[in-house]
Amino acid sequence: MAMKEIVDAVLAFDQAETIRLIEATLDHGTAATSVLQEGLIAAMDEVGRRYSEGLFFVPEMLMAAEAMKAGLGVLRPRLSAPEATPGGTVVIGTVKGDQHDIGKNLVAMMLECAGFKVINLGVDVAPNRFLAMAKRHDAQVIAMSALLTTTLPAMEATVARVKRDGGRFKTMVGGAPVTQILADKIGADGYSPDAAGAITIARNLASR
Amino acid sequence: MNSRERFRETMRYGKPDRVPYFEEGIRDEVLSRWRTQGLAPGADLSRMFPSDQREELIVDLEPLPRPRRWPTSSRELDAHRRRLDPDDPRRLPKGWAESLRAWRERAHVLMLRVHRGFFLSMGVADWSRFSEVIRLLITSPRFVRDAMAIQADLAAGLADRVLREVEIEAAVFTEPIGGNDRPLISPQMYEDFVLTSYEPVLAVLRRHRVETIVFRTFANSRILIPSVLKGGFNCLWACEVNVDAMDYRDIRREFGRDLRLIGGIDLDALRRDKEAIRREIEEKVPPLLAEGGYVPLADGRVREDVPFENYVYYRQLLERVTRG
Repeated sequence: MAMKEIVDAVLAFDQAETIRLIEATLDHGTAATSVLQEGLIAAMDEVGRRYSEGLFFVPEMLMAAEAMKAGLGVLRPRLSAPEATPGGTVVIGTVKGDQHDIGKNLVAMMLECAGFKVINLGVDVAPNRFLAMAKRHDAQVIAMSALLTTTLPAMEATVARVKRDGGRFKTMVGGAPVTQILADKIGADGYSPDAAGAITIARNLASR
Repeated sequence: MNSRERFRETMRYGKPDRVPYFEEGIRDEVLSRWRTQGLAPGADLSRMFPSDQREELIVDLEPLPRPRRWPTSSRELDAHRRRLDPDDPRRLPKGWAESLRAWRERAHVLMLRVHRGFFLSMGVADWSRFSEVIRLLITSPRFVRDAMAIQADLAAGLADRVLREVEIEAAVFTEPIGGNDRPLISPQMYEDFVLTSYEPVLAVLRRHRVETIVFRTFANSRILIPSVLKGGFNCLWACEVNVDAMDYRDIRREFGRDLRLIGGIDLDALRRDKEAIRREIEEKVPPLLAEGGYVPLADGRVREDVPFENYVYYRQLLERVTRG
């Protein structure tokens, strides 16, 4: 019951109520990991479902994410680092030559809310930097964004660079000019046309 | 017919002598690349291929002076309104008097860009302001409506000022609001916060009998089209589109003659090869031409990744197909 109320509070974008409910649930002895998985991450899965069905758009996603993060702030002191980010680690950035970041930041926000540790490299990120930061943070997934068709070669170069390193990291790509066909052509492991779908892709890739 | 007459006749579903051929915004860096690919030095594309000159009259719709920080609350709106004075002489392009004289004699198409759309009008230039504005839509809807109304007062005032002095072929609302799979905000939100704010501008355009009112959008804004039509627009110019969602043949089938169309040729085909270009033009352009109210054009700016020979093939094939 408490978990459903937490989910409802997140879906109502109510940060104060989310915090109150989580504190009450923890006071009752519920483990923080359970609250995270069955309350907050479950709420964000519902956000993804509503987005897929056209009920939620970006404003609703962002407000739910902020409520989720407010709740996560209460849980963090009670979670170990791996418990707080059960999804794994994703390194994300906009590729070399491209300055656009809104779509990439939306994906980063959703991945954080889905329980990933997200290392956001910003924009204009060179292939070697993606790889170096993935190694430094022991990531499972490297996520790349591009908005310009002229920067797609940089995306392809990054995927190639990652593969040359032994393929330890999985790659996923997205952005306006990116398609599944292009993703397959350049050898990316995953592609998502939107921020909500990126969670599913990242989970699949991180679990391999 | 001259270009003005040709465009007007096309948009009236009349009988133009041919469709207009607008230029695709080809920049110098593209021409430099093409000169290594066979474009002769000094060659003028508008002479190599039949072209209709189109000029976009750009007035300054930004707050003057530019704010260091954009408003986030209603108490800041009075100061914001003062930065959006339609009578500010700086808002008209330089050389206004000379331009007016030239425009009165013109044969080319003149379009007035009357609005920059929701996000730019709210000061979005980066993630920080984007997330702030998105948040304000939910937490402070009245502020957002009031801010957009102030922008509309500027846009309407400026449009009225311009249209008292020059006749135009079309007014353009630029609306960068499409995401990959859908608009960033819902149709309901778009109607409430954006389209409602456009009403004073549309009223000015109607008063000045502007016939073609263009909704120029990007990526996937398909589900906004019913609202946009209801709002008073009658022409769609979709750029850098998701080709599956924004196929003009489907859009024409769904919305009919109420919606004129500019664009529709997938720029990606030009990047690929002649076969892709041939299929794109031969499959899409004839059915749209048959119904009229259509200006065929690549759906984005032609950049360096389009080979020159592809561009030549595209222009020649387009002419062949459109001249029948």
